[in-house]
Amino acid sequence: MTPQSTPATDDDSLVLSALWGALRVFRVLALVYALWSIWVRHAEMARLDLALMVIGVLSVWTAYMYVSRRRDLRIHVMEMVLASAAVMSTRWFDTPLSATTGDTTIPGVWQNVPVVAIALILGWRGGLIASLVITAVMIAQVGQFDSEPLSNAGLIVMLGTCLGFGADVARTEQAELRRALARQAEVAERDRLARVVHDGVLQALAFIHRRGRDIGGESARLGMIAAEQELRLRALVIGMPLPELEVAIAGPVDLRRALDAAVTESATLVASAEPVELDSAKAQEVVAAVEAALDNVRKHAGPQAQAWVVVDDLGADVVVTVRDDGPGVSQDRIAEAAQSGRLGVSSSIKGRIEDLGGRARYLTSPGGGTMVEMWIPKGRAAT
Amino acid sequence: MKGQANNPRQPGPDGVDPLAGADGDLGSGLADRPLRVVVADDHPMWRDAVARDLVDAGFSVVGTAADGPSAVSRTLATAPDVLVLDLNMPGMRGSAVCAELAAAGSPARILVLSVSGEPEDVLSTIKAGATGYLVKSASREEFLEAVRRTAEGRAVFTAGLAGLVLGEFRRLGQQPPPAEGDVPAAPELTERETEVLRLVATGLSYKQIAAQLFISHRTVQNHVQNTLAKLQMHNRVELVRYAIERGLHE
Repeated sequence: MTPQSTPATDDDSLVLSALWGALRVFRVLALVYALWSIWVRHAEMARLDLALMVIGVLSVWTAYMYVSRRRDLRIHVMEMVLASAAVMSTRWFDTPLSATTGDTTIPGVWQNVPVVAIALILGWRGGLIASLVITAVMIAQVGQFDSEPLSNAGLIVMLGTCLGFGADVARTEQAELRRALARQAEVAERDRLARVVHDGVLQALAFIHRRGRDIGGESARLGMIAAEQELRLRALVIGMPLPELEVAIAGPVDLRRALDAAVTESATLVASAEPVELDSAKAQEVVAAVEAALDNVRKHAGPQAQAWVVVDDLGADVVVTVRDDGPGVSQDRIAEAAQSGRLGVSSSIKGRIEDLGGRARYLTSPGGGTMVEMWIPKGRAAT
Repeated sequence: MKGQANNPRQPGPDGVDPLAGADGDLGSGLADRPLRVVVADDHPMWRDAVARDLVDAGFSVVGTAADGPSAVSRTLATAPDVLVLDLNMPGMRGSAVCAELAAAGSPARILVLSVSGEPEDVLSTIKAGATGYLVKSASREEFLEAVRRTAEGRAVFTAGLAGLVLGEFRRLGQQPPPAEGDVPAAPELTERETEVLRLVATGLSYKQIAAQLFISHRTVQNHVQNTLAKLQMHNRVELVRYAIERGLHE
């Protein structure tokens, strides 16, 4: 299926197409029924010849509609006018009983066809109006408000409104489906691009990086540039976010992916192969806390320090550990900093995590750099 | 996920951790005869460079392959000590290559060398029997060291890989316990193994971990090795069970 080959319309909807197909057949059957019911009461008809002429006109119209398969509003408004005229002709051409009580009409049930058609085109409002119009015409034919057509009105109104509502739903569904397909195509295209980039550009950049470093000197510098671009490009093709998709699926987000953006340049993210799901508001706080921790690494451990962000999913809790390989800070100094009001370290990380009902602690070991461990419960926050 | 199992910025004075922290008995495999290696990579550029590096360092490259199926056949034909395997090759995924080799009873140890691993791919390849994973941007020395370690049957673990393995055990642990008796229970890590794996994931070297936990470097190595063995064993049992189920139902 190529999306470009046919212009997308609402009537791509399977449900709507099926209803239009059914309506096309119903129009013919309704005509046959009208003819048969005239045949049954032909003896009492006031003007059988003119009644048959009305049926003749309806037949031509039905044949045209069957062949042309038109679905536009204009033709069905015309059909509505024609049906109204056919209903009104009952007053003069039909049996006296039909003309005065309205228990049947010359078109029989054929006049419901434009009601259904307009409902399909305009939705429930259109269906309601069309059904009210045809009811009014039928009451006018009898010339008396409190009549058979009025008691039958409920059925016609229900028919018009319900089918119209169904058409509305079908159209909405169709639009959703189209959007989903477009999104799917987007993802597929991204995957294709990722493969291409992976097979070509990334391989070459990694090669330059490694060779450059092996050769040394100026080449090593070139290698570092290649490495940086390799990292960026890899981030782009593998972790490319689909904001639309993220918004569509509000609620839990993948913490790995959320953290990914925060740690791109400065650290290595270590996580499972499976998504680590966390409430999106919570995930944002965790990301902010990790960013704060990485800021501290830059400030205190120097630009040369490396950092690792480890996400460990324990089921009920998530443990996020940020470690750097800098000189490390002693526990005393952290406590001292908190006491002297320099709360940068504590408040921006501890505060956030404790707000989420979790806890954060610092660990430091000689030669092992500084380590911040954050426990975050996955369930509701205690606050 | 970028930078997860691999990060070109990672190698540094300490970044090569698990490799750099190795003890002194390296390269002992080279004492008697050169280690035999098969290199499988669909990029000629990489294949040649890797093979040349190996030859220059005294290894014997007994075969090269440009796609998955020929990686399997070369490895079976030449019975090398180590297969250096690119993750994404045409014809067969890395995990399928490992599975085929395991099924054929190949004793060759497998070191995965990849430019960027999707975490799922890396994990499935490791589960299928590879004992090491290294990014292509690792330096020549790191790479050669990794091949030696792999030949000795020692796992080559990066922080990223430790994260994947740990994550897999967490996932297995959270599955409901099997109802039927014949279904194998998910493997579990001991407390120590978990602790060690988490420390490896934070980028610490074996030596640093050993110092922190007051255990020997060798013990750290063994713990890491055990986690991998458990995972691979579980994978094999699962595969057999799956095969039997399929067989019974067909």
